[in-house]
Amino acid sequence: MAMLRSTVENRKEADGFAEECLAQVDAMYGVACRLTRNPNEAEDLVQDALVKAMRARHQFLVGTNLKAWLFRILTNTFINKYRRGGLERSLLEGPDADPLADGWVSASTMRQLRDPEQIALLPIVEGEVGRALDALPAEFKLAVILCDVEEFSYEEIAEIMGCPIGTVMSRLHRGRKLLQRSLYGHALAMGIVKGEQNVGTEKTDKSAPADLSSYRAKKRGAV
Amino acid sequence: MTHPLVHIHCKDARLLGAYLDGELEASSLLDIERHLSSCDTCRERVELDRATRQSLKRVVRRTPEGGREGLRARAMTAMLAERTRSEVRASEGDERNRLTSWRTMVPIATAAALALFWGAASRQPVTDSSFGVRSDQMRAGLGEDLLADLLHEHSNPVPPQWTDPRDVRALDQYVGVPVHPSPFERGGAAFVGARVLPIHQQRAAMLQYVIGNGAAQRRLSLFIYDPSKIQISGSNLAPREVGTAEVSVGQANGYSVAVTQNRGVGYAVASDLGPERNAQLAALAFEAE
Repeated sequence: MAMLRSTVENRKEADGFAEECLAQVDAMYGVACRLTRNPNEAEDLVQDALVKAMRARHQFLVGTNLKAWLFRILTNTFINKYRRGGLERSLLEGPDADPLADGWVSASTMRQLRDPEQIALLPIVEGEVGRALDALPAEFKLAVILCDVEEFSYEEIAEIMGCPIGTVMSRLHRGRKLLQRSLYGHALAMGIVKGEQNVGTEKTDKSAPADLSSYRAKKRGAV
Repeated sequence: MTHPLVHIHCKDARLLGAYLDGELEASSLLDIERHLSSCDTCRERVELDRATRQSLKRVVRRTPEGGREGLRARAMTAMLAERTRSEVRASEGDERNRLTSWRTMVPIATAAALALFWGAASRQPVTDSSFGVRSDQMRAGLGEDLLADLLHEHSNPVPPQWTDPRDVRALDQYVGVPVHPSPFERGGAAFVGARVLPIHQQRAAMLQYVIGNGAAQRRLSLFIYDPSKIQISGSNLAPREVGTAEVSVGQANGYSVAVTQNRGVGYAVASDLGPERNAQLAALAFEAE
């Protein structure tokens, strides 16, 4: 009878576990959509990750961060399923060789990019945020989403991505810079901000194409 | 002597990111704030970064809405299936506990699945008190009759415990009546496996077969039980005679169940082969030794 009772109690615990995992479905799906860039594949990815979590639930330490643990499984599942070579390969091929110059835009231009009412990017720029995010190399994109959207700490992101904290900071820095450069280029092409000639370090800004399509083609070629 | 961060180099924006992320130590934090109070460009950079994050949040969370509820239900089903699989593995690791775990597992897992589904559907947390109430409600909704239970076991089969037909006779010790592999081979069926199931606090043997080939292949479940403990009856069962056997046939959800008994042993055949064919198969079971 004692054994029976303990079985029942374990089961209650397992139910609570499944319930808590399901509470993270929306967040996992949002990230999965950005990683796979395909809603159907994102659903499969989330489901695979949750099934793995159920299988490994005895490895989860009660009292630790379940969301971070689930995102780690999601990340690993994504890497194993879609990127056999792992994230590192694209890091080497990525825009690392091109150290991002800082200070390419003045304070007044940055001010023009923001909507002072909503303290967000101008709507027309915001439409570009998704595309700019999609264009980021996966390891930058993941770091940026985990930090800026899901608000994990550096330590948690390091745990999720399986890399040192220093690497997390470097990926975040590069990812954000690429993102802002891309948004700035877009705003410039759309005439939202006036081109500046004090940019100096950025050749691309001086030769920014006038129309959007050639700007995009250029951006795709660059990333 | 000045701290290098007081004259923070504007090209080192990495610290500004860490500042916004709340990851700076107190001393660096003060240095950054001091720098921000005197540098327009860096202050604007922080504001732009903050704005970008807000936009990112909105963009990432604006995922296809329609998929979400479907995904929730789908993920839950897959998770519970995985749990059942782990439990099958666990219970097969322990011969002695097998019956206890199977008697308790199936009803509890079913109740848990229903409660979770309700919780997910209503977006409300499943508490222990709602757990019991909801599973009771669901039981009543599904119907109390055994027929529905047998159809459920057939349409959502759990994997067999034994796959060698020679082991089937040993099931009598769990079920309380002799269990023989049925002569379904004569009807073209192949044995898949067997397991013991809890049916309304009693045990029954479930023998699984497949019949036909390729796309025409159908699953077939034969339940063998003690009819003095498990009584299958009801207005939705229509009696008919097949040879010397008296068979009752019920139908639901495209499946049919044919029930018969012989010498104190109950047999029920569930499949989607139609009532006629099921009745014939039940009669075959009836003739079994």
